[in-house]
Amino acid sequence: MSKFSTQSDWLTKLGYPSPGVGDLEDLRLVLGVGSGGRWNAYVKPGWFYCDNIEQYNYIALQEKTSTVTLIGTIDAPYSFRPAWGPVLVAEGDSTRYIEHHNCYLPVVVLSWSLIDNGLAKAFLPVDTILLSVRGFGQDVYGTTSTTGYLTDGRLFFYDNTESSVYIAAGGVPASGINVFADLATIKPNLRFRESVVEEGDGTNGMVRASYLDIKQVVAYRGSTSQVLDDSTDGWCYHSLGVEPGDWVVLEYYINKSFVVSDHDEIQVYTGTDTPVDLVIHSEGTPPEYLQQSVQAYPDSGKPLQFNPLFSDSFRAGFFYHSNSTTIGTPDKLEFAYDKDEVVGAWHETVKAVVTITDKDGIPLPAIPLTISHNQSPSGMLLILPVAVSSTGSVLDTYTDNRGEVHMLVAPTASTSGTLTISVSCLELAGSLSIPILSEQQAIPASRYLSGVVSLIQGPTKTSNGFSRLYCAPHYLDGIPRDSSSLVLESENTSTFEYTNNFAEDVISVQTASVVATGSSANPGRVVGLLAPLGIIVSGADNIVAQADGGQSPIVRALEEV
Amino acid sequence: MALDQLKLRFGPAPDDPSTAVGIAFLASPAMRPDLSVSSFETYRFAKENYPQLREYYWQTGVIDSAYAFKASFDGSTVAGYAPQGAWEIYEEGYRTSTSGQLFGIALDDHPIVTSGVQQTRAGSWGISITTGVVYRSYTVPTYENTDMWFMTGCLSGVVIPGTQCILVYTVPEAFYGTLGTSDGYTFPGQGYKVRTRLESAHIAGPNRITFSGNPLTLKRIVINGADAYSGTFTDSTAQTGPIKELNRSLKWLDVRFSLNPNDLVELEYTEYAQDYLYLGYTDASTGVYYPFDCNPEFGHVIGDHRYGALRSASECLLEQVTVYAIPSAVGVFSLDTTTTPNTINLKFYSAFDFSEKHFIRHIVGEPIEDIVPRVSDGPTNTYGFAVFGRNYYDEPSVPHRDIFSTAVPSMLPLSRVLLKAPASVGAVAVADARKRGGGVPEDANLDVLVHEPGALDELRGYYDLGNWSGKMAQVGGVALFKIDKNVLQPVGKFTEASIMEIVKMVVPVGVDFTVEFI
Repeated sequence: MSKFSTQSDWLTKLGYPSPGVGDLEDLRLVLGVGSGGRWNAYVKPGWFYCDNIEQYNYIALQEKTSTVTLIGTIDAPYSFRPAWGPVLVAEGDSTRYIEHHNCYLPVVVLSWSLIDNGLAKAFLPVDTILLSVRGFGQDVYGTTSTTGYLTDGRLFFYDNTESSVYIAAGGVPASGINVFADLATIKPNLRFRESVVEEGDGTNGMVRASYLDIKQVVAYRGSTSQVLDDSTDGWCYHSLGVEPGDWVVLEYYINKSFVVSDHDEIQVYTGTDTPVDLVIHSEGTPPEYLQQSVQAYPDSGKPLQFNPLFSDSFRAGFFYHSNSTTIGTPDKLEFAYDKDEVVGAWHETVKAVVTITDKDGIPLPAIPLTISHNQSPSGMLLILPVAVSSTGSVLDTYTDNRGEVHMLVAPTASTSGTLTISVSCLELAGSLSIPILSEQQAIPASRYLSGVVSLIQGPTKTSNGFSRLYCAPHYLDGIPRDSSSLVLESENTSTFEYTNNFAEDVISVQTASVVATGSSANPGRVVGLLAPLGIIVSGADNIVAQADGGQSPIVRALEEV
Repeated sequence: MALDQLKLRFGPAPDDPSTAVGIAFLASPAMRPDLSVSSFETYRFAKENYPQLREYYWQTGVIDSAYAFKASFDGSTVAGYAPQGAWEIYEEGYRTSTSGQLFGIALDDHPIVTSGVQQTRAGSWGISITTGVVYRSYTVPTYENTDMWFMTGCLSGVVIPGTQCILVYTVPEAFYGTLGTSDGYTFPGQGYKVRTRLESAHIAGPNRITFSGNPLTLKRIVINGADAYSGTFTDSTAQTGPIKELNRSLKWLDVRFSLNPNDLVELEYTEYAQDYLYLGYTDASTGVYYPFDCNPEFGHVIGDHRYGALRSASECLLEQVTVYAIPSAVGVFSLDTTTTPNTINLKFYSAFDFSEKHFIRHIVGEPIEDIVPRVSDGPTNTYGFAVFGRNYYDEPSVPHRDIFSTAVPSMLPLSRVLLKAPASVGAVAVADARKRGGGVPEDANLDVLVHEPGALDELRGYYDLGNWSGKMAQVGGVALFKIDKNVLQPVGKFTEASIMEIVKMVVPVGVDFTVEFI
């Protein structure tokens, strides 16, 4: 922010102003829970720099217009302006007004009155707080807790109840004007006051103000004052006759400036007697109020939402301000089914997901793509949640906010075939096929033998010290079955023993595999074949059992009991 | 000059970052089965670690009588297939004693257990169910579901309310294998079933990845979404490409490239399919397929039988979804008094002969199963029961209660899946991408302040350069703050960064400062 209408070339070459945010909390993103449990993003108000312009993010822009001549008081727009929050901006005549916070009043002349008990007393100006008391030579007074201690000429007592200050009368020169107070005001003062150091030679006084372009300048040396010329470069010339290094007090107005004297008014100095039309912008919300962030793209105007339970959720990406319309370049297309094959005769559906990402792996929302599916035999494709197409047709759609498209595909035929989904997205294209199985292929006749072989390791041991192991084959539907042979294989060369039913007469001890035979003719008390076996496990082994093609669940990490 | 237009964009990084004002990078939590939703509870139907073959007893009331027992399979055909002889098993002359000894047969009990939630490559979450066989004694209740297969067809009129039978539940290990009777006996046998698994692995060292599964063939190593390896690696010792060693016993993978502790590492590999992944079922009576996908993210759906429609998984999970098994076979008892001794017949029927194909199913929104006295008309269950959070099996104080569903009385409840509070908004990773701006760029050459006439004076007119956000003009001098180091953590309560912020708040604008901890 500058009070100059033009900017020097050297400053422009430095890159001023650089893009970014103004300060601290400006434009900081916070997340909050919105309606229905959505996770919405909110952006704090503040200022930022972009496109060589100082810009503002107001939650609730308040605008006030007024006409001011030289000095004026204006009702401020409704504002809870936080300390580091959005700025209050005043503009007039295409000029930004400078806001300042002048609450320090150095070297204020007090009116002393002699009272009883050898004391002098002065009342402080309204709405001020005493910071220190000092003499003309900058010697600072000490403070006491009661007027009873004011026996030394360099002590003072501050009665903040009645806003007065006491000193020993003996310390006050006859004129009583060479003891001054440094004060703080509870409201900023439009008229600026500061202490500056004399840089002249004592004859040609010269001091420099903190601000440039100042008007109605008055210089003070103690109780002596002098009205000075306006200054555009901050240098002020006087004839107060002070020595180099001495302190001089300057009072002035900063040309085109304002202060917020309270939450409900601002004071403006225009620096001209010509009426100036002022426009004042300010933030209109309390400091803790957050602005729900909306997305400019895609789906302009919708809240930014991150709860993955909702349809409009985003997954990952950058959040930024830009006037650019860049939407990202698709770089990768990923495609997956949730099954390796699908049985058409069983009316099964298969889920498919397409994901479009950029070169950094960031999902790309709202990317146009086309999807077609060719099933042999035919079927239906459902792009969740609504779009439906039949075989061969092409659907135009867009990626959701997560850069994804979810589909369900339902083959409808009972014969075998292939399901192929093809996706094209700008210059990317891909397709993926899975087999459609008919019922006969899914469970051929022989498959009915491929039921379950249960392997259960018991807690007891056989007479030979083998852990007892039971095997029982079943048909696919769980009906117990007989079997002429049952084979166990070990990956780690575990040792088996096969006993004659429960008699525990060892008839076979084999390593790595064992063939147990049983008979359905007289299996004793057993339904189906329950082959009692023994095993000594070698390490963490894999055991597989097969019974005429029926294959067991593979048992892992079968350990000794 | 003062604009009020915050044009926000979300997505990939802008092509020209210099023209944009970065605010944040956000990453929403990817729902993972072990993170958010899987409030997943499994029923138990037997004592834990029940190791033995189960002695199944049923009372026939036979006392002082000799009976023969004959179990048979009514399997002249099973969906067109003639099994290896319709087997029959006899046991004769077993006499019960007057003291009430029970007749018993030994049946294998290999519990079916839902073992967790498994994520497919398409991001669907299915229920992993271990293979096994469960038998259950059952008395058909009056409110038996008439659409249930064993109440239809040739069993209509045979299995009626009051009929005592054995229900068999099974989960075979493979539906789509190519196993045949001629397969050899080599390990692990031909046609064994493997599945592809994508595991989110952990980093144990600069070059070491640990995993929890049992990979047979390593197919991909994915680092932060990009393939670091793609192929088929089966040998655990041979060094191939970036793979140094795959140690299956200690479950680590050593690689030849460096890993960052913050990397997201995924391993895709094949492993033995020891369980059945449930992703939906076909209702044989209607031909309707009801998909099941308990990933609560949008785009994942569950078929809800009540509406005959697909519903968002998150909506269904709010109501809870019960996963259960229906019988795949039934054994029906009958008494033949024409033989000497009389014969107790147990004849099995297969559900495949009744066109059933899917025996694991789900039901949405049904009330939690009722608990009724076993002595009432509720079906009996020989396996005890457990309800959510409470295992009645181990509580002898309620010995006569049983678990069943009035909607599907013959169901074997396996688990319940419901949506508990998903990850909170705090799970969204937010990286502040803001950069201070408005002044001069941080890398600007400040020599110009010396060489350019009047530069400093002009700077004093730029409020944001000398006093607010710019840093060029330090006209106010430099302050040194000496602060007792005991204010810092762990002795104190402040961090160095927080001290800097505090100091920054109190230092006048235009004054540079240095903090020294003493």
